[in-house]
Amino acid sequence: MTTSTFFEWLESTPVSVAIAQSSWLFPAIEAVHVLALTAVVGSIAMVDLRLLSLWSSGVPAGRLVRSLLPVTWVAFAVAVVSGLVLFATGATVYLANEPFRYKLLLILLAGVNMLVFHALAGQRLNSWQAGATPLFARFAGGLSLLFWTGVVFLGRWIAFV
Amino acid sequence: MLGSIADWLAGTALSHQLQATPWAIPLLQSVHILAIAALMGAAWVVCLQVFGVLERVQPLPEISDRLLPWIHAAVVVLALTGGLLVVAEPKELLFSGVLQMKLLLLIGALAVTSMLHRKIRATAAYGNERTQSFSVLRGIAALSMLLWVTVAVAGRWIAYSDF
Repeated sequence: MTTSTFFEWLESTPVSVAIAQSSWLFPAIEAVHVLALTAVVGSIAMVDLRLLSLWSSGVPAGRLVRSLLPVTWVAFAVAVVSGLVLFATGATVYLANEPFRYKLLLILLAGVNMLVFHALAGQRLNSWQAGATPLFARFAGGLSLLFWTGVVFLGRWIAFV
Repeated sequence: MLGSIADWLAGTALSHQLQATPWAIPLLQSVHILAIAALMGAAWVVCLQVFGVLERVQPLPEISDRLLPWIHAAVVVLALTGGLLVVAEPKELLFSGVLQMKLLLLIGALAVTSMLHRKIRATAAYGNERTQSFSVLRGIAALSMLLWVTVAVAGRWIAYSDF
């Protein structure tokens, strides 16, 4: 099976067709997707603004990250699953959609940025007090804000091209 | 009356300008969603902290102090971008039953959230969270979260409704 026939098969499965043809299923899943996305972006933005010293969380960065991680990961999982279901209703159309492709790229970049940041920061994350974040942490926070803002914009743009 | 307001808004220079700019509506909607992210992020954290689901890194009144500015700033941006979206498409939006319902739910969400944050400060006995007043606090937190979720879902539904 080639990739393109896989995506054609994906959008022709009974589940995909049922969602695409229903008057309320697509918007309902989309609403779940947007809700999950806002929780992902909101919780990540708190860490980013804390790293940039633009918001004072009142606790060391490491403790803030640890307390917020469950929100970010649960919401991210919900966003990925609901996103995959939405994608399945029109796989070939979404793949040809430029904002959609750039959105996936930005999510990937945001993930790489996060991995690099955590590898560099390690246990030191727990000792950063308010306003005392090193340059690379500020850089990672700024990049993360940029990437996730881009994800929100491109996600909205999918419907406008 | 709503009809004459819609007609007047549609005739304004701002409305024409927004209509003539192809990227204006997606841009306003994107900024609107970013503000929802700030609001929802803060709302989820406060609610989950009240429920004790997230690790309690600082006392609840301090969490409320740190996160209320997020909610305030988000509400201002949401009102601005939401208002401009109505100006851009007054005839489609002002008569939308879903938008009218969303605004009613929004009033409820704002009232309950404001009550929640006042109650967080008023609840003194954080040492024992099995008290009745803490149960009340949990109830208010759950209701506030439920209302915000309904407001957001109603918002997404505006684009799909015919009434």
